[in-house]
Amino acid sequence: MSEKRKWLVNGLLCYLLFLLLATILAPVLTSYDPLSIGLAKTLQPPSAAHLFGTDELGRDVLTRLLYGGRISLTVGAAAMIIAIVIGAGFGVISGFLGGVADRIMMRILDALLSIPSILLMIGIQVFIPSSLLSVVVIIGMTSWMPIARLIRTEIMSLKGETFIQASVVVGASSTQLLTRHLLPQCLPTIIVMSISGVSHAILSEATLSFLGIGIPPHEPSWGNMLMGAQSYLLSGAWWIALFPGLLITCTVLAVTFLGDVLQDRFALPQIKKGGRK
Amino acid sequence: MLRFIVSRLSESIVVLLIGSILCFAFIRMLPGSPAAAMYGDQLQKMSKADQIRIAENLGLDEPIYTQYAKWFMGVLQGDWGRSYNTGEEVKMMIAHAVEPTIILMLAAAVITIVLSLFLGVITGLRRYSFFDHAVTVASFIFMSLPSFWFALMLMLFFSVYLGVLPTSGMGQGGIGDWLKHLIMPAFILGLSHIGYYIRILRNHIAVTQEKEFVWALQARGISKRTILWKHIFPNASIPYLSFMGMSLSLSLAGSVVVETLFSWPGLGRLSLKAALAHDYPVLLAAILLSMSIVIIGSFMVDLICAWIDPRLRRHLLKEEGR
Repeated sequence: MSEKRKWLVNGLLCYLLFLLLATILAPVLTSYDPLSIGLAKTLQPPSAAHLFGTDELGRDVLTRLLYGGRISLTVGAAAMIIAIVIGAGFGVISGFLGGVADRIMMRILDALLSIPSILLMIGIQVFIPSSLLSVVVIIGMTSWMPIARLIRTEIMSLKGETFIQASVVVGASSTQLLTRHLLPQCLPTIIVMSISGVSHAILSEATLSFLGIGIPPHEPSWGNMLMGAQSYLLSGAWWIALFPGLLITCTVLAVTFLGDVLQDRFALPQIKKGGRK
Repeated sequence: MLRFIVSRLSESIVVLLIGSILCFAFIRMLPGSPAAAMYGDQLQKMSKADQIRIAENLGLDEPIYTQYAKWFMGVLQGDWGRSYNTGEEVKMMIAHAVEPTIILMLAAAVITIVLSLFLGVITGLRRYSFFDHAVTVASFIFMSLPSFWFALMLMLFFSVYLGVLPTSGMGQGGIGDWLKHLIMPAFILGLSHIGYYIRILRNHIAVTQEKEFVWALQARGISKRTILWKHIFPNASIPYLSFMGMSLSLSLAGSVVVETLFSWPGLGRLSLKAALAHDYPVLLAAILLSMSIVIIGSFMVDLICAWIDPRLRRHLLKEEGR
C-alpha cells in the first residue's frame, strides 16, 4: 500500500469512527428530542439554534440525523450479517455438493437474481409488518445471492486444490474439510463482500424508507428523513433533503472505498487490477 | 455455437420455470385464500357446503401441481386476473405501462453506454493520469449516491432554482416538451450505475493493453487505433457486456424509484403503487414480467458474448459438464 493510500484509509476509518461515536453520543451532542414536534418552528432554514434547520414538523434536522444514524448503521450491519450467513451457507453447500444439487441451487439463484431487487423486497414486505426488524430481514434476504455465487465459485476451485485432495486422502470428514480448510480459505472474499454488503444495505434502507415501505415513519432514519422531502423541496426547503442525502453518500462512499482497498490487498480475482505500478 | 445456444436456452427456461414456481408460491402464501379474495367478507357468511363448492369451482381441491400447471398456462395465455382496486384487467394496465418504461430505459441505456464507453476507454488507456483519478473519484461517488437523492438534488437545481425542467409526467404535446420531461429521469437512471461500467471497462482495457499479443501487434507496426478497436476493445468488452446483462435487473429496480419520483407512468411506478395498495395481481404481473425481461436479456447478452469470444462457449459448456 502506498503512502497516499494509507492516508486515505486512515482518513476513511476516522470518518466512520467519528460517525459511529456521534450517533452513540447523540443525547450528549444535542439537547433536542428527535421525536418531539414543534409546530411553532416548522421548516426553518439553518441557523445558530438549528444548524441544519428544522423539518416540516419542526424537528431539528441535525438531531434526527444523529439518531437516524443509529438506525441506518444498525440496519446496514445487521442486514449484512444475515446476507453473509445465508449467502455463504448457500454457496458452500452448493459448491461442496456439486452435481445435480448444485445445478438446481444455481438455477434457483438465477431466478431470484432476475427479479429486480426492489420488487423482491416489496414482495417479501407483503408478509412482514413494517418495523426495524422487518427491514433488516428483508434487506438481508434479498441481497445474499451475489455472495452465494462468489463463495460457490471459490469452493469449486478450492475442491480441485492438492491440499484439499490430500486431506480427503488422509481421511478428513466433510465437516472437517468445510470448517478447517474450505471456509477459512473463503474468508477474504467473505470480508470484502461483507463490507460491500454494508453499503448496499444502507442504500437499500434509504431507498425502502424513502418509498414508504421501510422503517415506520415516526422513527428517524436517513431514508425516512428524505421521505417527505420531495414536496417541501419543490417549495424551496432544500435543507431537509440535502443533509441526510449527503450523509448517506459520504458514509456509503467511505465504506465502498474501504472495501475496494481491502479487495486490492487480498488481490481478489473479481476485478483484477494488473500491470505496472 | 448451436450446442451452446441450446444448452443456454434450456437453462433460461429452467430459470423461468423456477421463477414462476416462486411467484405461484408467493400467491399461495398471501394472506387470505383465493376464495376470500373473490368474495371478501361474504365468504364467512356462507354455509360450509357453499364454501366447499366455491373451492371446487376455483380448482382448490385439486393437487397443488395441477393448480400450478393451470395457473401457469393461464399466465402464458395472458390471463393475469383483475386488479383488486380498480377491477381493470391487469393485462391492460401492464400494456399501458410498458411503453413509457421501455422509452425511459432505452434513453438511460444510451446515456450509460455513450458516456461509459468514452470515459472507460480513455481512463483505461491513460491510467493514473489526472483525468483517470478524477473519473475514478466521480465513479465512486456515483456508486454511492442514492439515486432518489440525486434526483431530488437535480430537481432542486433544474426545476426549483433554474425553473427550466418539469418534475412530473411525460408531457402533453410536442416532441420538445416530451424530451424536456424525459431528460432528467433518463439521466438519473443512466448515471445510477455508470460508475461500475466505467470501472469495468477501464480495468479490463488496462489489463488487456499489457498482454503479450498487444506487444506483438505493436512490434508488427500495426497502428494504435487498429490495435485498440480491433484487438483490445473486443477483449475488454466481454465483462462490460456481461455486466450489462446483469444490470438489466438493477435498472428495472432503479426505474421503480425514478418513475415514482417523476410520476412517469411506467411499470415501476405501477408496481410500487400496487404494492402500497396491496393490489397483488398487479404486483405479481409486474414481478413476472420484469423477471422474464431480465432472463431473456441475460440470455441474449450471453449469446453475444459467446459469439464475440469462442473460448467462452467452450468454457461454459465444460463447466456444466455437457
